[in-house]
Amino acid sequence: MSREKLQQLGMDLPLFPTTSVGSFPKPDYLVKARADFNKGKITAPQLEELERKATAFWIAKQEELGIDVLVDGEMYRGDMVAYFAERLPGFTTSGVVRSYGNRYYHKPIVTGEVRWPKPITVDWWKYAQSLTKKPVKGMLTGPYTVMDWSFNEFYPDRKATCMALAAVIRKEVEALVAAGCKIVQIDEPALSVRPEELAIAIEAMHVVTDGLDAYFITHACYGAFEYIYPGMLDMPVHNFDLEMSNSDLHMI
Amino acid sequence: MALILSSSGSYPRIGDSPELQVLRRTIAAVDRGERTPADLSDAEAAMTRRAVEEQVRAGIELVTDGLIRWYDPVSHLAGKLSNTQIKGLLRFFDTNTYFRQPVLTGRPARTAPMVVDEYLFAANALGSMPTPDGKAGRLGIKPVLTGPYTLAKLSIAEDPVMRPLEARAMAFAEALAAEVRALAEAGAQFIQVDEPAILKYPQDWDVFARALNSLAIVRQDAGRQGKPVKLALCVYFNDCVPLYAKLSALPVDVLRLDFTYNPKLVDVVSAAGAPMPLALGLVDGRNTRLEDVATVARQVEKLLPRIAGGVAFLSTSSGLEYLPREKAFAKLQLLGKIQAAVEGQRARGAQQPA
Repeated sequence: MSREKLQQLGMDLPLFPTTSVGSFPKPDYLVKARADFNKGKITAPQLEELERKATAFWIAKQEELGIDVLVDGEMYRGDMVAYFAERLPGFTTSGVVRSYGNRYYHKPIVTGEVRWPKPITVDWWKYAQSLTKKPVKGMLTGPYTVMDWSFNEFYPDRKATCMALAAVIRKEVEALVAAGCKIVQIDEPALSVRPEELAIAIEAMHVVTDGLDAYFITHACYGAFEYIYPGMLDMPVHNFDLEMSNSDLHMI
Repeated sequence: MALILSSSGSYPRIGDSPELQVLRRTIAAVDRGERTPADLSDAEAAMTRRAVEEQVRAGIELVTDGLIRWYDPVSHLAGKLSNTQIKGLLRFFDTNTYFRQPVLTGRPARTAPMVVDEYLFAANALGSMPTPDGKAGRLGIKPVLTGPYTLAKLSIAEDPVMRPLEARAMAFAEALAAEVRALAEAGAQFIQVDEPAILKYPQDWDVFARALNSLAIVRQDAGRQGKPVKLALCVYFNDCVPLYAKLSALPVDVLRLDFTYNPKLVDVVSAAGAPMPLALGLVDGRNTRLEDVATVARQVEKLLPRIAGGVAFLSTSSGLEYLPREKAFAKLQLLGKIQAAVEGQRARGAQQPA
């Protein structure tokens, strides 16, 4: 972590602050409620009440465990790309595709110009932050990953799609920072899959973060980071959060 | 020059309607202990039959079983070998899908057929379906194997003897060579061998080529024993241009190329020519956008005169399991439209006065 930047932002964290990546398991009552909502058995406000209850649980649990930088646990989200795609004009949703094993999801399709209509994550960030004095991270999925994990039927190529998404995601970051969020995590799990496109991901991240006064983290998982290291250090963030356990810690 | 429509391997194992979710529901029920492995086998059989039927209905002439039973392209084969444990999830190349990594505790060895039963089931399913108009005598089915080099590259070894890449590759090659022999004995006349890893790791060329040669030798032996079988090497998920010259010199009968990573590949192949039949992966198997028929037909017309062997194949750039079912079907139908456009243009050309 860049301690200077944290101090500049008024945050006094321990020498080795602890945090988590972003999501926590949804409690059974919430899993059922989400299914009931999809079938029209409960309303959106009823679902949201349970999402808030689960969020409060996880905020309290993180405090109990002594975690230094908290996350809201993403009780209101499903897939990390679909959540944003469903709320951004320019996207439609495909039929189911397989991730692995018996896991399936509806992959977004870019079918028109992508636009930012209003804040997507700010209200949830504000709610989570209201429950604790410890800093809560703002959590977004990065433009390169959204591009890579979506089908594209509108923009001429991958780079154009990515840069359009970067401009949209920047607006969300601006809204989070304006609301008082000081630590923003922008997840880019697709970062290492095409090393020849690292420059695109870096350029897009500049669009997202340049000039904004926040501490930026990027998270990547299931990645072969050896193919993009040290080039990935050019990402304009203050902190990398890298998953290594799936490779039996060989990455270390 | 015949232009044959060919499947690239995988096909979606699910759809949005309830009857197309039978495999997903059955797997979940088996995991809960509510259904048995026999129920799972029935569900896999049902979805395999559907995959074959849809490929045929879409106009494909050389089909596969859709790889419906494959958990992933690596563990499905490696997991059937001795001295092999299947462990953690890793991303499969640049897709947003994952495979389970084999961990070798000794030399992996084939102790039983790996995909022969799957091939025979699908061949039987194809044989029991009505043949569409105009396709009499043109339908065939091919088994798919992930190649020895790709299996080796995506595996790790606890056994020190298997740690060198070449040791793993040659062990997998021996196992797969036996499988090629068994498939030829079972009547397979065409076997697809997928080696996507070589495009990403060209520095391993010598190991890759030696391992592939083991399969090519068995192919030759089978032919001498009255069981002729063609080997099709498929490479995808990266730029084929840097390796095209070497790929086209390999001892295989057909070479399938992924044209979606480098628009220059059409020109490179057109300039250099192809000394063996090519399978042209010009239609993107990983994006829902449907290509313009005329544009792709022009690319095919540019390539056909440069391909030796009197036959070429038209396919998607990769398997279709990355697409929603309706789009996968639409992509296959698109191949038929492109084929018709090419054949129409050739017919018009033949009618032109000299």
